[in-house]
Amino acid sequence: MLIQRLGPVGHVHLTSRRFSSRLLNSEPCQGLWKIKIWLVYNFIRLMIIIKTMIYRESLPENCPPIEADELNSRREVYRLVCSNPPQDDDFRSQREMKPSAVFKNISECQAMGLSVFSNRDVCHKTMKLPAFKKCQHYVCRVVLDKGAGRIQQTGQLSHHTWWPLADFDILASCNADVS
Amino acid sequence: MKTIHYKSALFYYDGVQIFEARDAIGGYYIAVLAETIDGLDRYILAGVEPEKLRQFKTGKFDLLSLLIDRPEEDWFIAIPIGGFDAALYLELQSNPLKNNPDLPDSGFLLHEIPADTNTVEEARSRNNLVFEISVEPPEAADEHQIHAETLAGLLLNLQTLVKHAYSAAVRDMSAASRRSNDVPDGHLLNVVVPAAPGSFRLVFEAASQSDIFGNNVMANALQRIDQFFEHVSNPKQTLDMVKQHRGHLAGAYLRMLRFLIEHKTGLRYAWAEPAFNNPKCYSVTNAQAIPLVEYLSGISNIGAETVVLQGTLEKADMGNGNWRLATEERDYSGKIKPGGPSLDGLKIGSRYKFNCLEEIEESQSGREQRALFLMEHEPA
Repeated sequence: MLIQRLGPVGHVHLTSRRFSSRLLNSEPCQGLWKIKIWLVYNFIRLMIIIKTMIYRESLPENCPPIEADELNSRREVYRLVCSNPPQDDDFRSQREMKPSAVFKNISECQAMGLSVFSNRDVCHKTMKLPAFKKCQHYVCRVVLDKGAGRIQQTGQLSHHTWWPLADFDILASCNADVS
Repeated sequence: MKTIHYKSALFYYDGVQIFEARDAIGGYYIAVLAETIDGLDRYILAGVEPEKLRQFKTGKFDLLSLLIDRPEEDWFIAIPIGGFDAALYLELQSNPLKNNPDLPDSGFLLHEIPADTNTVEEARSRNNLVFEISVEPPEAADEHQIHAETLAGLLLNLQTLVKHAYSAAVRDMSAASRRSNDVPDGHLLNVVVPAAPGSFRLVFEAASQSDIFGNNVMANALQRIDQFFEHVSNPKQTLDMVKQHRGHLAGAYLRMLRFLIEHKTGLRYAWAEPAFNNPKCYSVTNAQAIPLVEYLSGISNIGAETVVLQGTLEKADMGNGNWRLATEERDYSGKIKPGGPSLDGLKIGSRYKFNCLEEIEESQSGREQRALFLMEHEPA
């Protein structure tokens, strides 16, 4: 998986500067220990950042776009699912479902996001379309919160594209209605 | 085998669910995703009457009726294997469409909330951003007429304002988006309904179609223009806003206001994208434009932009202050700003970095002419 958006790591440099000034005033042996501790500390920190910023799919460069909002507070969105309770298969992107498809008029980034609606009624309306009549569909309410990834309004007013983070437990945040 | 070309997406959810298309002789088609088999999308397509398609797009007609209530019975299946850029091959079906199990349920409306303004209705029916203006010059007081010169000037000023707003919007984008949205020829709006009956209402459509999600960079550009018209009754507030967009956009706004004063008219405009329920409407009256121009004219260089050029000096005329610099892209000519640096001591054939002020002056025909004034120079 690609590492996406490592986020601000500026304070690593500050820590480094503080350590450097202390090292100048310490015994050589003591300084070596401090360097080791500093390295381990920053290695663990970097691993945490990398782990928390990995998206479910290996997204292309500049994806999600800068216009997409980072999910930092609770909000509800709705997605059509084929099983109740929902399964991982209900949250597969277009690219995952159609690995060899040519998406010429949508970007690879969009094809790797998930469609969700901010309005439940639009989900019910969408179920009238033939592609959603092949199996019994349910409207799944997904509660997004900090750590859920990024989201952007795309297309019809209620339609959003969501790029979930790998660590976000979608199934635990999803409740399907019997429709 | 018959082919059609994808025109635009009308409904998107994990892929294009509904789109409209045209055939080689301009016939209208509606396509609905029926199913996806082995990663390939299979669409039902049917030829439809333009007016019915328009009504469907504005939310007055449901999808099932559009597909079933047609004068001809032919319908097709298409699988866009090469994506939507390529021609789609249609496979004629023999059984009646109304018996097909892959039809949508009744009641699928593209827009639940009906459009209550012409602008939104126009945007929906064109599935594109629509911008509409109306003016009231003195000659329109008794009849629906406008001087040709006023109309031409209005269109030119408006297009210039939009062009600079668009450039400013594109400048703020990421490098990748900038490349795909850069429009060098400046044809950003096309007049689609000139002088509609009842007023001098002019309707424009974005020259480039919106993307598959209905997003158009033109919307970003118009939002910038909206800021200039938001507080027209408060010149000081407008002045603060214009200062934030100092440069060619501010200059174009000032020229537009001067034009309105000169032709004794105000301006009303409204714009909408297909997804809007209400248009964005702004206006400026002739009386409001006068103090705005007075305030804005008091600021020096409000319409000028700083340009940095790097290249080989080809000409330096110390007598009249003219110079020419050959950069990698092209040659630039300009003058020295009164009170600015001298060309004395510069060597022809040497490389220099010129910091210039670019001002836009209008020619007699109303066309833009760019003039460069040297502010500083240093060896490159």
